[in-house]
Amino acid sequence: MDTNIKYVADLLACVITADGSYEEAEKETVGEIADALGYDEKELLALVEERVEDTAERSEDELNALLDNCAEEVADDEVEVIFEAMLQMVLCDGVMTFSESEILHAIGEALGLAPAMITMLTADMVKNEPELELDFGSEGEEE
Amino acid sequence: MALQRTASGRVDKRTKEYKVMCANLAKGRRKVARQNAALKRAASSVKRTKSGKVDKRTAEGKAIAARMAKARRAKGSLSNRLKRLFG
Repeated sequence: MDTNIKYVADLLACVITADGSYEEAEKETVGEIADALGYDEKELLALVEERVEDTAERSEDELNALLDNCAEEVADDEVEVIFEAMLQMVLCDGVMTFSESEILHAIGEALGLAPAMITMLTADMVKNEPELELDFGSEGEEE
Repeated sequence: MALQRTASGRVDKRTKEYKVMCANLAKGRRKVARQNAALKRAASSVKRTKSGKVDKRTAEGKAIAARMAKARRAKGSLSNRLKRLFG
């Protein structure tokens, strides 16, 4: 990968912060992303951990600005691969919600992907992960 | 009213009484199935949302999500998807 690991870590941190949790499933997925993109797992985990602490303090506008800045640093021929990695992170808890769909669109747009490509890549992921659930209801509804 | 029978002694399935009996039996089977499903859910320690999905905010839900993430990593789901899509 030509894209510097620190920008990938920043993008992942933005996604994790927006999604609201950095638990075991997310950490395992950072490892999977490192495997798939050829980054050093320990380095990526350490960078993500550090960036998550930093981004947790930021406002929504600051997060969006960070997202835009990092997305610009992604190598042109790697934008789709990076989007797939973000997709994997957003959906690692096994459920796709409405707000997660909004996050994915924000990331895709920041990376310069056309809306149709964002939809197709997301649809491909949903099609190939049969245990993935789609939740159109409000998040956090309880019994 | 008793079920009507054909000349050969079999129950005549064309009658209203027979159809009502079948509908009642099916209703009874559905009720039992719902009761069994409710008992099964009550016996499960996993907390669920109103829609029946595992509540991922609980410790059990998070543990399940972590196991699923490990399983996806073990089968290389992201790597395989990248190879399939982008060569």
